Amino acid sequence: MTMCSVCNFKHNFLSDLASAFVCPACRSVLYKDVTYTDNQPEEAYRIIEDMSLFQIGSQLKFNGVDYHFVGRYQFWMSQFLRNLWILHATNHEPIFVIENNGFLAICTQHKTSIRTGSLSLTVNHTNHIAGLNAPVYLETKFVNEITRAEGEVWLLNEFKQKFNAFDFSNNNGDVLFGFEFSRNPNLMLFTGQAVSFHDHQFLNTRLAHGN
Amino acid sequence: MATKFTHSIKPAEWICTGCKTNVTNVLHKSAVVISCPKCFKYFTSEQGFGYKLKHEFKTGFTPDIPLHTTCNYNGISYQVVGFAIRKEIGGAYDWREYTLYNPIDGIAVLSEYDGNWLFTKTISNYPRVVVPNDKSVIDFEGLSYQKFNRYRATVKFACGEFSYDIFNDKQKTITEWICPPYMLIRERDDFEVVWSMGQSLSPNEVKALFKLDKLPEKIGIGAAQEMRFNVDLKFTLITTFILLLAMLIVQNVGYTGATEKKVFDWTYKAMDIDTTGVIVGQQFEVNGTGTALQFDVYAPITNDWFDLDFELINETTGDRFEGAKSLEFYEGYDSEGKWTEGSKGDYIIISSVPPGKYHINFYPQFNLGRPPDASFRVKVFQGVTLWANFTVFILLALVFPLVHYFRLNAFELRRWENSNYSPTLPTLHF
Repeated sequence: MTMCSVCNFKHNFLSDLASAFVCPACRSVLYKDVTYTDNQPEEAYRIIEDMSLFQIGSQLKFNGVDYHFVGRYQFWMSQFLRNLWILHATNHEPIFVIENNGFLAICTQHKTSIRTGSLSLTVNHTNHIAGLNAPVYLETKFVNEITRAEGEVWLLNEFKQKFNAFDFSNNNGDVLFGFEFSRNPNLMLFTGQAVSFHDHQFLNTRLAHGN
Repeated sequence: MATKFTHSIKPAEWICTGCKTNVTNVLHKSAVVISCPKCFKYFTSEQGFGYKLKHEFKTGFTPDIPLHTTCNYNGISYQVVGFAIRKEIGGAYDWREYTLYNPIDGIAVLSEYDGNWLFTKTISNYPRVVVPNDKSVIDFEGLSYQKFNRYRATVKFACGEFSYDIFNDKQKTITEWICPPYMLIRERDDFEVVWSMGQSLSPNEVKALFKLDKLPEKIGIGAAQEMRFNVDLKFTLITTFILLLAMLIVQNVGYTGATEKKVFDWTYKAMDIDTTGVIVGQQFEVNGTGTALQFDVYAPITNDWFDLDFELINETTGDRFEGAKSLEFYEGYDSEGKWTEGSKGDYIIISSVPPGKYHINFYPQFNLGRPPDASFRVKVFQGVTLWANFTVFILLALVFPLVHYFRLNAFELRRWENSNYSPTLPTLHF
């Protein structure tokens, strides 16, 4: 149990991956297994009220497993607002949902990589990245300065500085989404598939039946 | 059909800092741009920290499809949230773009140029075409797309909401490939490449979608417009070729394999003519299920003429078939030597003669100064091949592909008038 030293909000971490929790009441960042003596913890940037389909508490039944939306990052990707949702299921590795202007992808893998040398990436070309067996096609690269977060997250320290964000795809139909930080881990890649909302069982979304 | 959803987050009101007008804000903070439809001021998002005035349009335009009108396209309910007039940089023409929003499917764009409409949506599966090796033809999902245009665009006017800053699009190179009714569009700059798939819509389809009575008059041919009553030219030519080949085989088999045979061969003299001017020919039989008969008429005339009228009479039914043939043959010598004119023999065909027993009544006419042994010979053949009919059939069979080819050419020439990559003729990709 972690308790916010500002507003006394209590939270039980669900995700093993998560190292921090953004207090929904006061935006204070609470770290796992840390007892706060400081009454002025850092604050996370507030999530922008966007048109996301999901919220903390949404669920996805995926490959027979019930996943819960426990946290998200929100940042600008090129000109669009993007959400990277973290989904937790007990005794399972976390999965991630990328949400971007009607585009949805479910990423079942994430891996870190140490960048060696200059990572020269060109949009509209295939690029070779260490750790990936096949060349990938770069669709978007964007330098981001502000990352907003809510719920259970990790890597908050890395997000405090400028970072590069990339969208790749490969010829197998996989989508790859990557962060490149200025300190370790240099490169974090999320690999998954573009999906249709209608083909998956999402529950407790922000949608309502209507005309 | 997909279940209809609405977003539980209802539209907000955004107060224009220019004219204090309440502007409906459907996209909330997902709107990177809000442009006031009243004072025409264009505001862009500061990464979520409010909106900042970026531009002010001097003139306002009223969209033909009003903001916040809804439509249902392919089972997906869209709402018009933005309207922009865009212009090719360095070009003379502009076009209109309506930004459509659905809570699940996101943003789509309906564009209109000279009354020609295109519905466009971004795609995540697209052809891997890289610069500078841009191809003039892209094969994608079983279709061949031809490069149609390449340009950069700027904004002439905008009102409503946009999920991206359309002014930034000036940096983007837009390339279009068409395979009517589809269009592949690539927008590319140094930081992003986005592919979209467009589909041409007729003005009537757009009117029906938005329940509108009036839209801009259609002029010319849309870039991705499909020709009405179009048949694939390659398919048409192959089908016509196969048809002609089949007819040729059938005709040839009919010609060589038909039971063509001589059923009548008699020579008559002028003295055989009775007092009523008739020679009644001998009986003969026509076999089969109905055949064409060829009558070969020959008269040994020189510098003379011969006319023959005749009736072919079915002895059982009394049915009559009439025929006539005139022969003339002249010859002589002049300064250039021997000359001849006309012929001593000719033929006539009577088609669809039923089988049965027949005889022929001949009504010959000779020149009054005929020699006493003047004669004529008639041979009748059954089962003859009608090459004239075959020729007519060939011409008829060629009418459709030829008309189609020239119609398609005229249509394509008009379509490619607006392109810098115009092929001169429709291309067949075998």
